[in-house]
Amino acid sequence: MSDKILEVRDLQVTFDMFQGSVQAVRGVSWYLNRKETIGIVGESGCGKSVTIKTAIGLNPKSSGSVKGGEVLFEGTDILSLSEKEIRSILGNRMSMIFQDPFTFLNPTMTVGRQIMEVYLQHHPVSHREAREKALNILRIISFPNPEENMKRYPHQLSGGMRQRIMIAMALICDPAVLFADEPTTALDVTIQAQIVDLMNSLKDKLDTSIVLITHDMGVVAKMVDRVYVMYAGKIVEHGDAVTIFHHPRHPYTWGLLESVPRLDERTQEALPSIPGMPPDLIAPPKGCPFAARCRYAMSVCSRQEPEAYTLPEEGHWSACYLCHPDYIRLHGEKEWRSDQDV
Amino acid sequence: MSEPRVLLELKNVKTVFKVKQGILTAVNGVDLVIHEGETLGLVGESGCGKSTLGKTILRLYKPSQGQVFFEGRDIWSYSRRERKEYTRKVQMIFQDPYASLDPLSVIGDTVAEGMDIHRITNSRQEREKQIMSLLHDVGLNQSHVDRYPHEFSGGQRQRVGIARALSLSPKLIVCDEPISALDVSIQAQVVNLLKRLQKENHMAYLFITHDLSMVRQIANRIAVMYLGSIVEIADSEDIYLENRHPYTRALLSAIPIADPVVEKSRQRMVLTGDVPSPVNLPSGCPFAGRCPHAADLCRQSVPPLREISPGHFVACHRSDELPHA
Amino acid sequence: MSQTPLTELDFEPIGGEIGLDPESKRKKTTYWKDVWRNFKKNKAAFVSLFVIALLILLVLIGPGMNPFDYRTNDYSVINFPPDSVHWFGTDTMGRDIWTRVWEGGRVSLLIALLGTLFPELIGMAIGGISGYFGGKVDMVIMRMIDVLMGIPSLIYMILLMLVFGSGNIVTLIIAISITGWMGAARSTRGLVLQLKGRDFVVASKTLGGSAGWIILRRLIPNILGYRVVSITMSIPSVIFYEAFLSYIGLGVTPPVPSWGQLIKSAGENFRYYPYQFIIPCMMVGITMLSFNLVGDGLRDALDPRLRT
Repeated sequence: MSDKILEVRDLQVTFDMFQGSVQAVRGVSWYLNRKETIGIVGESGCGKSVTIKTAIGLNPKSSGSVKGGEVLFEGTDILSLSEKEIRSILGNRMSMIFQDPFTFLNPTMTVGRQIMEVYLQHHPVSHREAREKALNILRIISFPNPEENMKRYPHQLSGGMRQRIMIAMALICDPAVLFADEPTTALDVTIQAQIVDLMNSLKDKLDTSIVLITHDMGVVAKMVDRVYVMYAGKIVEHGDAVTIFHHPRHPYTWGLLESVPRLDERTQEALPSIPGMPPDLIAPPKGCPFAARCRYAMSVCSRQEPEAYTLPEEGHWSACYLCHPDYIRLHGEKEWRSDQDV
Repeated sequence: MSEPRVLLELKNVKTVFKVKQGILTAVNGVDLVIHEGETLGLVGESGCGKSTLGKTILRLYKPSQGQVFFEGRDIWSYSRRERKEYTRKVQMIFQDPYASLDPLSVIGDTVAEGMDIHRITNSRQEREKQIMSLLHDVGLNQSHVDRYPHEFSGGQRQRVGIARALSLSPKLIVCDEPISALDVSIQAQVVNLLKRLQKENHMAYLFITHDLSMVRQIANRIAVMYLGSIVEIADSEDIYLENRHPYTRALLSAIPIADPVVEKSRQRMVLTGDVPSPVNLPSGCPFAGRCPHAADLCRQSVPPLREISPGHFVACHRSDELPHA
Repeated sequence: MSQTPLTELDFEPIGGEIGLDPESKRKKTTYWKDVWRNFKKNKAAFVSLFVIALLILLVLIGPGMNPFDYRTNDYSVINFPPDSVHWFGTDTMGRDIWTRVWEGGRVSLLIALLGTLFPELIGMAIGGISGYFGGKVDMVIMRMIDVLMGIPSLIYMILLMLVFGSGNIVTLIIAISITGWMGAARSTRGLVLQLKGRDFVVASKTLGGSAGWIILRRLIPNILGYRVVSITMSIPSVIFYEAFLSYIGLGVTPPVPSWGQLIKSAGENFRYYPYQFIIPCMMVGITMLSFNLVGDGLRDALDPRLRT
């Protein structure tokens, strides 16, 4: 228990719009251990970004959109903190990397200055110390010519460099938890590889736990220890990375894995894909939210929602009737059919 | 199968822009052929000129040098009528499904725009019928015909864009990063859709992308572009299995594999540095600055694109010395 | 886990086609419906819209509501304060101020409306052409505007008044249009430049759309949203400009009233008959404020970032 640095319990977030209420997050629970990297995976609109925004206190209880649940960070409930208290934690004990660094950075301030500001906001130190600290963090993330580049403005840097600046800003206060929201999606492939390598190397250098949000199973495979698969505002499968990639038990996870084209495998006629699209959470379906897209859908699926069924692997569970004990008793275990399983 | 007919041919096309710092060479002398009904993948990182090349083909940019031939005719020698006719034969699908649809037009009007411009349908009913059949072809719910684009997901919008391009029954569609703004699971859907439509309508695609993993699923041939030049072009499978250019290898190596065990044991070639600016190009091989195998020769002279096996071209001084893939 | 055990029947596969595009569960809206819904949220703007409607109504029916007309002098009732017969009192020539205020409102609002619309149309056309075609056309038009804008608008005014003769409404509208289109042209050009590169406009081009098609079908509708705000916001300044011109004697001439004219003639006796001055001033003030608030509300309602 004591190893959990961050825990989200039964979080429910609903946004009221004139067309109705969008139930973006419908009872989500997950935890993050110290020095661990977890991945929250799902298509856009599944509620993963809303979950994270709520977890870092950007959706406080006072905004009215949080309908229930708690977010425990080192024992305190983030949701009940005041704006001021959240400000003192954000960027300091918890920080975040966004998808698009260009919109995040201030175009009229040098990047060095922006990194320093973050540190100065949380520490009563002199400018010189903050500068030292900034240089130090840039060296840790192997930023080329830190002294020179600190004097530049965001538009003078390339996309990859800007993403590194944002990482430096996120890390300068030595946060306990780092959230990364699609940190590589906006970047070129070769730069993506650089950033992923960088983040992996940071795990050894720093004492930071990472929550990675992405729709790309390829990036997940490279970085995380445990995976939460999220769909339509709920977590549908959880397990450690090897289990999720080798013995996934939820058809949605299968679909996500199959839709990543594999370079170490030959081309098929039609790419496997998940047909259709996620349900509109203004009116979530009654049964399993994935049933309408699932080729294994059974009569029970559209009638009532499946619960989380525990599976033999450590911590592995899946919210799918294919994993229901009665199903297994009648039909045996349904494993992912793929030549990857050797 | 008989020799496929050439649909589009680029001869030494160069497209430049004047910018503050000097001359930006987006496309630097490209020769390229697209055959009828085939898919040519054009792969490169941002700023390599692949989108400019696509737009040059669409007559949106005039090349400063070289020629573009469509069905044997130079597209810049067209009369006014031929120009309009050309827009029926060559269409485009855009990258950003949010920016590519007019926020003030309902889906049906967006899909029908081409038909309206070219006055293809004679009656309101016929127009309606065409729109419905196009929506059906791309797998969209026909009840959405009078809804506005902001209500749709990225994948749905991209289908609208595809229906719009399809409406004029073109012979070539320039697909400018049609999937890179979409979720991976939706990317596969769209690629499958494009493949199906190609089979049904016998169109050619120029499939522009930065992602070498998806393009394999759709392209017959692939051209790899770097800083305005084609550095390698070959049949799709050859690019993956017989690739000879270090940049192609770096691109392939950068793609993550969705398996943590394989990923941990994998040897990867991670390029250092960024793509150099296309303003005032360096002399020599464009890739020399980031290439782990660069020699003095590479920095001095531009390697020509030469054929190393039938249909497989590489622009690298040292491709013979490098170990095979 | 669940109480009742599931049976073979529950695990019957459904089959059938999966992943069809589901019908949307949301209410249909249009762009302008969305704008209107958001506009209503802004109470001040919403109330202002009613005030403007009321003003327009009064301007239309106000002069007919009592037996007086705006130009007949009645020396028996000179400078009467407001009472039950003359609701706003009478002026130094015994004319009914209620009638004159609404009659003047007709003139002022007409000038404001046309004086905003005409320069907007001219500016949109010229700015649209300049932005769409770019290059030399753009440079020539823009330099021309730079030069024209350098000349103070009062000089045009006086020149035009000399040519067309001062005092009539048409001259005034022409004068305001000639001096007012440059701002609209510049802003339209900027918007066109922004939109021109957007993918949906490029798409129109690749579909074979002519310049006319693209400007009319794509650019103008999308620009209108932005321009509506500045149109609304510029109505008050035209009203004020008219009042100012009338005040310095370049506007409409008596006995035709306009709000500016009323203010001018009452200004001389302000200390003795303040109501003669204050009432038209209030009309100008309320109208300007209302239009400004409506413009403000429109800007928020049209801003996609503020929309939910």
